Amino acid sequence: MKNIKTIIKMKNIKLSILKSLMVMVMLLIIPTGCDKDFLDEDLRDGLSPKVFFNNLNEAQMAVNGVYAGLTQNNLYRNRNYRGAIQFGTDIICPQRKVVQTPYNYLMTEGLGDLNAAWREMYLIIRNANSAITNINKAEALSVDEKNQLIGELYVLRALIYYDLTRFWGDVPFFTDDLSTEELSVLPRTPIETVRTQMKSDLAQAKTFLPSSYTGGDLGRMTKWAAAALKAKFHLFDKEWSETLAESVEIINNSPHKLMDNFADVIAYDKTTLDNEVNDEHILWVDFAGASGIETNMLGSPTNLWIEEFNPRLKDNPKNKADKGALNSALAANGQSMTGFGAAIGCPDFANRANWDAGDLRYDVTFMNEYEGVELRFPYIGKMMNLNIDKPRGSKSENIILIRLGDIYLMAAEAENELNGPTNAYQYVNKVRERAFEPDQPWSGMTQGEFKIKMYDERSYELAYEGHRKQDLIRWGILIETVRNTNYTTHAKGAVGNIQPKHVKYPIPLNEVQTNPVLLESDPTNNGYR
Amino acid sequence: MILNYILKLIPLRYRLLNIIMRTFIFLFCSLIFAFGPKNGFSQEAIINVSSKKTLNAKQLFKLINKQTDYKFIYRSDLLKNAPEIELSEGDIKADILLTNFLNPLNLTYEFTQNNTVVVKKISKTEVISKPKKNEEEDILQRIITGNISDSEGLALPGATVVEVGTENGTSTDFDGNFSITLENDEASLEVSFVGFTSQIVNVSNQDEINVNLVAEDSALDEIIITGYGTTTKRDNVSSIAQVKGDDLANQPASSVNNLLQGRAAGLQVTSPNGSPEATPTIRIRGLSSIQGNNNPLFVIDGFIAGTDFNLQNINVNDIRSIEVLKDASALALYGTRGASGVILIQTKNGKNIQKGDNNLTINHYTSFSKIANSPEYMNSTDFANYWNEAETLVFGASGYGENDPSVDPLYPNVASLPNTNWVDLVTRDGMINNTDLTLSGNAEKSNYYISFNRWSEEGIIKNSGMDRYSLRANFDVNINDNLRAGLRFNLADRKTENNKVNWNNIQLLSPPARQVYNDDGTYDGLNPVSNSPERNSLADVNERVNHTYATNVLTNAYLEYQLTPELSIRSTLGLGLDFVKQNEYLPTILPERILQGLLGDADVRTRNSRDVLNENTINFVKEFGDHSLKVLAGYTLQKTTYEQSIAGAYGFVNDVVTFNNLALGSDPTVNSVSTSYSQRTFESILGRINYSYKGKYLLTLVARRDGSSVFEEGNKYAFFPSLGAAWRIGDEDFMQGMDYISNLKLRASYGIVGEQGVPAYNSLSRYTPYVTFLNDQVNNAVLIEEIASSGLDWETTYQTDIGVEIGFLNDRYSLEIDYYKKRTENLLLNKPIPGTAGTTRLANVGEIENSGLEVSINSVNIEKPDFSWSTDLTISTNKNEVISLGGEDFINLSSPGNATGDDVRIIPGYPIPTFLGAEYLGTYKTSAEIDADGIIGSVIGGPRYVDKNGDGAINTLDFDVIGDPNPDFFAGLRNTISYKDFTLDFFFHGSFGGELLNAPYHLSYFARDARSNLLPILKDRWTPTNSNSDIPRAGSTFGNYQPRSTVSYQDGSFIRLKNITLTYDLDIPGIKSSSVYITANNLLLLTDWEFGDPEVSNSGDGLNSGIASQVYPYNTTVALGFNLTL
Repeated sequence: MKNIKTIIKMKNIKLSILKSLMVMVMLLIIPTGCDKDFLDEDLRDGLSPKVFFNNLNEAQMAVNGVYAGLTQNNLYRNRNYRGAIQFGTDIICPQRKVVQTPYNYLMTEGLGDLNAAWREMYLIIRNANSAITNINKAEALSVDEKNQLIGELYVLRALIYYDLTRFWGDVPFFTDDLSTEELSVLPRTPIETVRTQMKSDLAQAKTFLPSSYTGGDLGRMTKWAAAALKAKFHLFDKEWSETLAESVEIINNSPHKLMDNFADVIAYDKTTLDNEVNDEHILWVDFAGASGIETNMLGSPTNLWIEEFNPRLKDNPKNKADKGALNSALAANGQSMTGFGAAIGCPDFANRANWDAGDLRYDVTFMNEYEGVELRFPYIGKMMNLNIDKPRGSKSENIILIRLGDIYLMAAEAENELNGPTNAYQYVNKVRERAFEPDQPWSGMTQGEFKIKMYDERSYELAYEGHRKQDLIRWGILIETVRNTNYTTHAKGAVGNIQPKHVKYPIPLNEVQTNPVLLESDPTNNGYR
Repeated sequence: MILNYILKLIPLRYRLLNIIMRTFIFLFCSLIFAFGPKNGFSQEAIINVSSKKTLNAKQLFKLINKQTDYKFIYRSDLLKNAPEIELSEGDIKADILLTNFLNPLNLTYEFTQNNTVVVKKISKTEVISKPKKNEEEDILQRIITGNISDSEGLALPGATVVEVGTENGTSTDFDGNFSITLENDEASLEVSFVGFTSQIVNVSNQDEINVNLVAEDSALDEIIITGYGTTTKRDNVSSIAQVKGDDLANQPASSVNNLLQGRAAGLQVTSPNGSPEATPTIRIRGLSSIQGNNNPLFVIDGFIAGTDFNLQNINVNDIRSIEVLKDASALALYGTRGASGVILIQTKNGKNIQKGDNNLTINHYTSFSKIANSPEYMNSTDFANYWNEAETLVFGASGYGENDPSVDPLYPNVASLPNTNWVDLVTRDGMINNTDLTLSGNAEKSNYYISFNRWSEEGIIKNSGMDRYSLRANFDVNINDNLRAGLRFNLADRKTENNKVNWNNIQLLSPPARQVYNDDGTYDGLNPVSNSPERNSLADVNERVNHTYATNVLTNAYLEYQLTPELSIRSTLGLGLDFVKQNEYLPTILPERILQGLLGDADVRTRNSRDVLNENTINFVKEFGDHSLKVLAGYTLQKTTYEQSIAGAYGFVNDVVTFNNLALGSDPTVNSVSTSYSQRTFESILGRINYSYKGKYLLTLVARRDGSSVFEEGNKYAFFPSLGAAWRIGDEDFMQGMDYISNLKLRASYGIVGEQGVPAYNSLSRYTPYVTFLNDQVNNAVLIEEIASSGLDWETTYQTDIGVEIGFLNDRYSLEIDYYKKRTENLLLNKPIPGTAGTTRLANVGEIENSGLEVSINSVNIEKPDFSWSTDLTISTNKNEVISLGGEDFINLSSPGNATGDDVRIIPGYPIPTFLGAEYLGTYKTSAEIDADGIIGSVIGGPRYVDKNGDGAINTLDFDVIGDPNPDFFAGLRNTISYKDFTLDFFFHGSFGGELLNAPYHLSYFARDARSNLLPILKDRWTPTNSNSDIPRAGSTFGNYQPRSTVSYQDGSFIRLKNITLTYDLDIPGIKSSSVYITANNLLLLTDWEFGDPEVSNSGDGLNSGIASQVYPYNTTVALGFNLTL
């Protein structure tokens, strides 16, 4: 018995040695990560605004981001957005059953209500506000650097509010870097407040920005882009003297010049895009034509809109017998017809006989035949790129928003409104000079005649550039114009459907549902409920 | 030491009793007599009694000890009251002396090593033998009689008694008696009876043999794996479903989650499609999270592998068992990661092999597969006629729609059109070859299991498939009495040929009127309608390069030390490594790229993740009297890092190097590079107390305190407790009269589990990198797109579970029913916010509730020596309901303003998701109907809906709730029939109730675009001559808004013969066991669903569930295989 006890005792000693050894081993196995910071978030691959704006490059990247916003899927490049701007007028018609909602005025809440565009526009505004706030606070930037960047942001932001107020009238308006909570309950702000602030921002931007850029900066907002946009704001608000003043300042002081030939306004090398930007262009959105490749681009900066005008080979030529001729002509020119070819000229507007005799702009605007082969529809030759290397989905044409020709016509219109035609002729005739050979200048009109003639003149000069519908709305003649238009089969519904409410869009249903405050100032939602 | 054994694992009950008895002998009352031997040891030792005497037990043992070498070990209490024995003068054999003395006391003895005799109670298994007869009385033909009874002494009528090695046998009569005439002198008898462990009894020189058969380890004693430990079915307090690996083995599936469908109550498995890389969706007790994760947590051999672990890395045939943890009492141990259930996967080891044995098993099957329930489309003639009709439909002079002959038809020459069946072109018969080579063994102090697997699959879509090699090495070793260690190691190397067809394109962009090849034999890449470049699905499968290499290592090693008999500590270190490289190349030969003038484009993506888990637990086990206590405490740390890099190059002028040399991509302006990094960490403390009183009253307390990096500072920790209790009513005295009830247990649990559902870095506002172009030159840019969340909390699920387990007739029939209710608060949701603020933002909103009933029935219908038939049935229901959404009336799940309206929503009072739509009234039959409705743009024959708000437009505001995709119940029915060496196993799975959104059907019904295929039902559309049809007129829907409506949803119920397997066991000399088998999957589908397969279409998880779209179809497979163990 005694022996056994001793053995047990000895065993116990051995055991306790083993135990402590074991505990030591286990402690060693435990990773040394159990320090206090073990649960901290370790953000390694991202940048947050808190650590940004320490130098000029960082600030520029934030500004570039706002430019990138312009090429988003649902804005300028997109058929729904462009349709909202252009369809349902007297100059653009569908040749088949496509996008019926805007063509036939079928939009309602939740249906063709531009909700995606709304979201993308406010994405730009939030980013512009955040960048403006942070750049103002950035200590590393000089005053000149800040002015340059903020000037660009002011113009970009104003451009978006310009669209927002054109589509919806009163819209949520904010210029500060607000919190998500604050942004979620914004009411509609009266359109006057929005526009007044934007005009003031643009005036400020004019003092901040240079006249022009070169190289990789070409396309940034200039002093003259600010002025042109400001003029547009004034034009829509019927502030004629301000419209005139801004326009004349651009005409007289800017480096922008009218091209000698109307065709040159949109002429450039369709393969290389050389000379895509010319002296007449003031404000545009740059599309680079990259497609399908996973570069870090927002959306896809291809110009899809142009496909609406590029013909579809299937529909052509008019006479089947000419098929061979058309194909060989296309092949010989290195061209193809791979567009949607859906938007064509409305029958009356596309009729040569309805244009002034000798108007050179008709042949630039319309393409009724290709190398002598008659086409099936009056295609919009002005907005086309048939280059065979640029098939559908890969177009890179910039979308011109404001050019000098428009400014001349705005100056003419404003001068006529203010003082009658006497001093207005000089501006309109400058544009007509290159449109006719020999010249057919205007003269001897009453103020009223001038005004009415201007309705057509703007459509001849600026056809399919995205101005027509807004012009009709600001002149107050959209509804009667639509009711009197001879549409193609698939747009005929517009005549019966159009109502006064259609000069604006309903605030998108999704917005009204997520932020009911939007209905407080106008429970009818622009007349749509 | 035997004690180690107790602590290491909970052994089978009878063994446990035995061991506890021995423990008592050794620890508490033992006396050791250590007298030196005088005579040599002999079995036949004779004891000489010199004179008549009366001895007590102690004296008797002393007497024997003096004359033999026997030492005696006994519990003094056993012999305390033993009567004295009278011995008369003379010689007597020691064993007769002892037997005569001990048997009346219900005691016996046993020779052990070192000439020791252990005196013990007669165990229930002990064969009671009478002293043998004199040898001269033996006769050549011996007749043995006896009685067979159960451990309680009740007679077993009909038990079989067979002389081993012969055909000679009999069975017992009504009183359990038998009589058998032996053929051989040296015979042994095998006694067997259904539900009892067979015994082989050496006849020796007995002529009466009475046998007490022990009931087979009933299902109650089967080990159930719980988190961080094990229990038995008997002692289990939680709701845990177990699926045995053997039930899943050798079914041609690369990943085990495919096979779990219908196997366990409460477990809903849906496969999104039939492609080799598809990952099925698993739901345990419904959706408990909206935004967060609803996938169960996979724990593989104790390693927490996460919710998105790719189970293709685990060879199905290596799996020993799968436990599905369902209630809070089981799940609270996994804290924030347990709310959606936990699936524990245990792989095989060598323990079940006979000690000292080594087995080599070769298993192979070859499986043949065919596309099943393939979608069918219109031929090109019908297709062209439809679109010609559509193209010419105009409002016309009447304004009510007419076909204008002056409008050019889309297809002027219908007869000359090609008629291409794109589905046939891109599919083929598939094949799977699976080979397993397994070496396993069990030595005295260690066991091992090593398996090698090769899986090679050719998918039913051309150029898709998977090649896998996997290696598993498991071993456990007892280093000494107190120290154990082991390792689980799995290595899988896969190459997946990803599906190259955009299956959606087959419906949307590959109409029959489209030709496959141009006249010159090149692929056609033009859509005949739009004339725009479009993918050619055949070129896709033939030319595209897209494959993924994945290497996964999963290891978990443990070291376990027994500090005292009651206390042990265990530390594990697990490592999960995953390396994935995907190569994608778009060759120059692709027709749509040629047309766009695009050059070759290569992308290489690599991802690797590293997951380290350390878990340290202390276990305390103690039994005192009627009380039994088990305590577990643990501390764990886990860190997961994830890195990704993508490199893309564009501008390859030929297809020679493809993705192998990105430097040859010649256009640097469109090359792309990106990398990313993310990590998450966890730190947790956990504990569990199991208490049981008399084995009848069971209580389990569980808690985990979880800390996670993804939550904001100050909000990083959460506590998840649970309580479970069970009452084994069947063990109560008042139940003893009811012999037909062999088991009755009531259990209940309540507890809290969490779900974090938050992506890493969500609380930080971040820039997304972009580039922008100015003057066509690249500029770097950043943009804030996502919005930082703030103040996020865990999703918290409160779950109550009440269960009852009943067994009848020795558990021949058993029934388990569970009712549960789960309420989840602080639901995380990417809540749509106004466009002024963003798109969505992660927030805690509202509550949902899931409640349901789960029933499992197991029945042995027939059990005969040569024929048996058993049936297992599981039925589960789950009712899901949104209780509140934090004040919101509803949340839209479909993207706002889409072409079909906001058709999927979350609405309080309804399940998630809920489908909405307008009420479809059929087609307009008269102009009066159009005038009455006043819906602009309507034509006769066009679709008509109820304009609920009467505003003259059909839009989302006219929508009503139509249904939801959640089935009313789902069930699995398995039958196993064995006849001699054949086993037939067939398994049905069904889902009942639940509406699915039939998107392909809707798309065709309301055809929008001449590039899309059409379903054959459209032949019965409205036409002027078929003006009763309610299928819309061709062209009446073209280009229009087509809201979801009652016609877009269909009942998704189905019954599928999921699997049928026939196995034949062969008897080959020299081979331990062998069998051949044939198994077929998905042979039969019964459904009313109108297009393809409702299950395949039931795509997506959670929020997207129930939206049928065009996907890679299921297949039907037949596999042939064999299994040899050497």
